[in-house]
Amino acid sequence: MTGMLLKKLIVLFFLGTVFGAGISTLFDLETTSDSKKSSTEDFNGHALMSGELARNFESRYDDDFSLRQFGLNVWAAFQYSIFKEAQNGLLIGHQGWLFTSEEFIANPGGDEALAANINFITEASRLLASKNVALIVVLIPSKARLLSGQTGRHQPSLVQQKTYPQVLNHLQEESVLTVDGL
Amino acid sequence: MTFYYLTPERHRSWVILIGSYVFYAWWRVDFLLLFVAVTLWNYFIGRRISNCGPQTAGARQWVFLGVSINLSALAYFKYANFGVTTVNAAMAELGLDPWLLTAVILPIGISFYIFQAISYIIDVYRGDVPATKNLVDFAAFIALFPQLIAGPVLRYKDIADQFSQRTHSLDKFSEGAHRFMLGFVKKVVIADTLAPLVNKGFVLQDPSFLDAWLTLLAYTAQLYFDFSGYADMAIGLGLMMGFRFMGNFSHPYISQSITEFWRRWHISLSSWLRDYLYIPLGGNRYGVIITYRNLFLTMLLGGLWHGANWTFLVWGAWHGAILALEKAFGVDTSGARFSILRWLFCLLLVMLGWVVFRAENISQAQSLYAALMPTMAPETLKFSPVYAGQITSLQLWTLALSWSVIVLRGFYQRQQDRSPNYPAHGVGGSVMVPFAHAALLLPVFMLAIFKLSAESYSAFLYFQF
Repeated sequence: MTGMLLKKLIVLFFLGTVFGAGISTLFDLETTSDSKKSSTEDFNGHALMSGELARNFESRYDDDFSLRQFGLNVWAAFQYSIFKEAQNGLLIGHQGWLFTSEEFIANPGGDEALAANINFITEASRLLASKNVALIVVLIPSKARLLSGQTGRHQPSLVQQKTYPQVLNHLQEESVLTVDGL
Repeated sequence: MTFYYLTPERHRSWVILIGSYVFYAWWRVDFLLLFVAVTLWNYFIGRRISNCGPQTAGARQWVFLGVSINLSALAYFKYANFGVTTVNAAMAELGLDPWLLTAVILPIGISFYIFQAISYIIDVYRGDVPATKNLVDFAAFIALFPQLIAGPVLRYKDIADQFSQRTHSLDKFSEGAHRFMLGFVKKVVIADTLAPLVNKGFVLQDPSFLDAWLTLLAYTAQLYFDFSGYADMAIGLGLMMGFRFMGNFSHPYISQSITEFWRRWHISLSSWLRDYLYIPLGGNRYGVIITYRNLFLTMLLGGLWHGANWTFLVWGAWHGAILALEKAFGVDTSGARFSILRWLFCLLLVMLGWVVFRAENISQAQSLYAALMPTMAPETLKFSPVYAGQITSLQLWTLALSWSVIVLRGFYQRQQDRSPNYPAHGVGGSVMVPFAHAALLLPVFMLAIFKLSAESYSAFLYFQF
């Protein structure tokens, strides 16, 4: 008897979640279709044959998925309460301070990009100087640098820590006028 | 599913067929024509073989023609780009102008449905199954949507009877729903959580020793949970429609030899390769040297089946060579006696193979292999900053959970296998779902739905094959 009840429960749960969420999303799509008519206006034979139309529909379906916002909230709460972590790209510091992860992670190829940017600023400064225009560069420090006491267990990588003084020194060596924001 | 159950039983193959074609056309309508052409071609070949009679000279000609055209289609759509790129590289070395070929799109699932079609015509030729007269049932078999894209590789002889007579019951539907939810959880909660660890680890320019091992541990678990998750979902959907497909995995990471591993990993493919490649090559009937050659060739071609890349050939050669060595040294491959050293050594061999299997090219694999080597240099004994900053506690705990499940469930299964009353691998008997298991699975399934809606979706790894 318990076995039969369990099987019925599994079937009801499965059908309820999968079909319930799916069908309610289809109704949502129907009611929001007026505001998103552009995708249906793009209808043409090529889009149908190449699957582009189907992918557009999938994209809209994902966006309008009835459990999406609730799912976001529940998953974020789960991740935060268990691991004290936030969604991808976001880091949690002391006292609820939030930081973007890009301020902490050493990016592959970051050195080359930084050197190219410094070079670009130097060239621009020289070009403007030749036309009697002074360029003053105001360096804006990262939030993690400004609020270094609030980053909690997250520490910017050595590369990120070196970036601000490195840029400042380089520009000063190239005689570019700078304002130290920190 | 609703249409399926609202349709009278005798017309349900039509619902499966139309539903499967809509499902396939959802990806690209134009490639549905290829799919239909392959189906009609193999139906026709099956009828011709049947008219000639099993294993006759006439039937042999038809089966040769049928297999050749099937393999030609597979070769063109799957390997043309690779072949032209390889030839052009050689021609460039010789200072010759390259060949020009518009990039060929790989039709999704082609490796699976071509193999299913080949097994059908060979089975008809061997007399293992009569050629079907029912085109709808045959087309539904080739197109059966739950397993269409990433297997298991079905054989007509195994499920032909199920097209004419299959049962539908609450037991089966419940078992299917349970299996589907289990697969979904494996995929979304475990495999997708580990995916960033793997994706970022494989593209590190200069991975440390720890980076490399964490990446490899994560990939080994990710691949298993991703692929076996898909198989569970396919088997579950099949059960909900009354079909019982063969199991595709049986705790492969507890194997104690590579031979045993291939009895537990992607079972439908390894048994296909055994029955339609290894045995026709001669199997072990013509002496030891020919046996080693056949093992090696079977795995080499099995590797190539996974994709048009040198990495898959190397991976196939790796497994083929180990299988041959195990045969040569008379390694006990029954798996009856357990030795922790043999288990760890086998797992190491499998994991080393996964490096080249996952790498985008040989040089990427070389970089990771080099990093996997033990070293005393202190800087390699910590995570590189690029990698460390992207590792989350969620990923590490999921990795620990995944390996706990692999090991504990694996050894529990090994104990069960010893029991004489327990069903053999891959034969799915009706399983009574324990209450505690269901009580855990249902909320985790719900959590997996929330996770999927909150995060981006990662395509199943075996879709690319």
